[in-house]
Amino acid sequence: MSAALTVQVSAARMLTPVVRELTLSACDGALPGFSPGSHVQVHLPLAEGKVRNAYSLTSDPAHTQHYRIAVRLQDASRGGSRYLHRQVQVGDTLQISPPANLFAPHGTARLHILIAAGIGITPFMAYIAALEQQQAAFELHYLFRPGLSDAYLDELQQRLGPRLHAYASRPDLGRILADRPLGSHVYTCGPQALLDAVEHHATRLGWSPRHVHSEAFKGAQPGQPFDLHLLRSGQRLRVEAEQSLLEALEHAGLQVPNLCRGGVCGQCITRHQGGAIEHRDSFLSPAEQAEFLMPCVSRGNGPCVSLDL
Amino acid sequence: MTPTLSRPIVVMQSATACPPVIAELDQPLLLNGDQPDFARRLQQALASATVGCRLYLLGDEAFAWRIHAEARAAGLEDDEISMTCTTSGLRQVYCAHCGLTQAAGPHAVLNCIGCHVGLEVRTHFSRRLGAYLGVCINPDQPYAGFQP
Repeated sequence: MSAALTVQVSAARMLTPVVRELTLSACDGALPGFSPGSHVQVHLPLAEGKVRNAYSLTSDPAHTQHYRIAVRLQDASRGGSRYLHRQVQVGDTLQISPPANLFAPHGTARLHILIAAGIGITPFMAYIAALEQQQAAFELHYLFRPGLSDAYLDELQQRLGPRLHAYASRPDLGRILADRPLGSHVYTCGPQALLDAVEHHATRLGWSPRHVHSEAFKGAQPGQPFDLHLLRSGQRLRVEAEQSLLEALEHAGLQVPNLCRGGVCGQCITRHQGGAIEHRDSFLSPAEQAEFLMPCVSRGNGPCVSLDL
Repeated sequence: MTPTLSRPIVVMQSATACPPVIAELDQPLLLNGDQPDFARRLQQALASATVGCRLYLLGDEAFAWRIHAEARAAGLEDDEISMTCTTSGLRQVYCAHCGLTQAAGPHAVLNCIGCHVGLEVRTHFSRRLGAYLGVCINPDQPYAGFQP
């Protein structure tokens, strides 16, 4: 795993009453380049220990003097977004992991159809900058709650004109996906229900899965606390209610490879050997879940879980 | 509006009897390589096709892979193209020395029509080029078999 980067919050503004944009500038030298759709993990010092949340980079990938992220305040969460909204001030320094990309645009697509819901607009801000520079054909379908989750709407209206399709309620996805030229690709970022709906309509209309891309907006959710038994080292750990299993392992000094911290990339796959598991990932098949778990999101469902670590 | 599924496109090298897989398709658009304006028809069919369209190719390897490349350039993915190489006929060979892709018979050796180097046709196959790799069979006498 690459070393963390130290960045300074050089600007902050509220985009909507619940979305705060932070500009992160390098403290020493330049920041690594990134591709559209990339995210960074922001390391957050919370009471439960270190928490890392993944946020898409919304800035133009052509400019790496700074990164920008947009954070939606989540009430029912573990406090990461609250910290970035309420605690962090301009001038503060933050630790972030270097950019990684699990949601890159398809290089040879003829037409890019972007579908965003709410804070799901964030990866597409970088997409749009890159696609405009490439003079690629694209359109944005943006679903939001007016005045609440409509970040960047004014900017997008001016910038995209008729290429922006704005919706205050779920659009007719079948219509969006029908009769598209060969080589079209669709990208969706938003809640799982929207992703599922797009996939359903795409499948119905004969879209190849290779043309359908998505990124779910979910990180680790809290749950019941449970104990952890590491069979190889003999260690016994506690996973608190607000802590993910991965964070508990990291807190104990274990290095587990990870990228997305949202149960999609597969990096943190770990073999489990006892105890009831609540699987919350979108990576493993049910058959694989019998043997493995993704500690970034999945949790124990009983008093104790044993892991092959 | 009820979106309609895109019609499947069937491209045959020559007008032969339809195999069962084609007969089961719903209103396929049939094209065959014998038609005088085949190239234009194919281009038009691909340009007006929409996402969800499936392409079925029937012919020898050289023909099927040539159309495959055209379809990929038009935006179809591998998994949207079904190929049935029915007739034993020509295949494409890529010369590693001059870069020319040429149609060739089933023989294991040939002279490149571009640079005249004697080639051995390897089993290495490029899906992108739709061709087998041809490599100089005798580096000591690369033009040994060439008779102008």
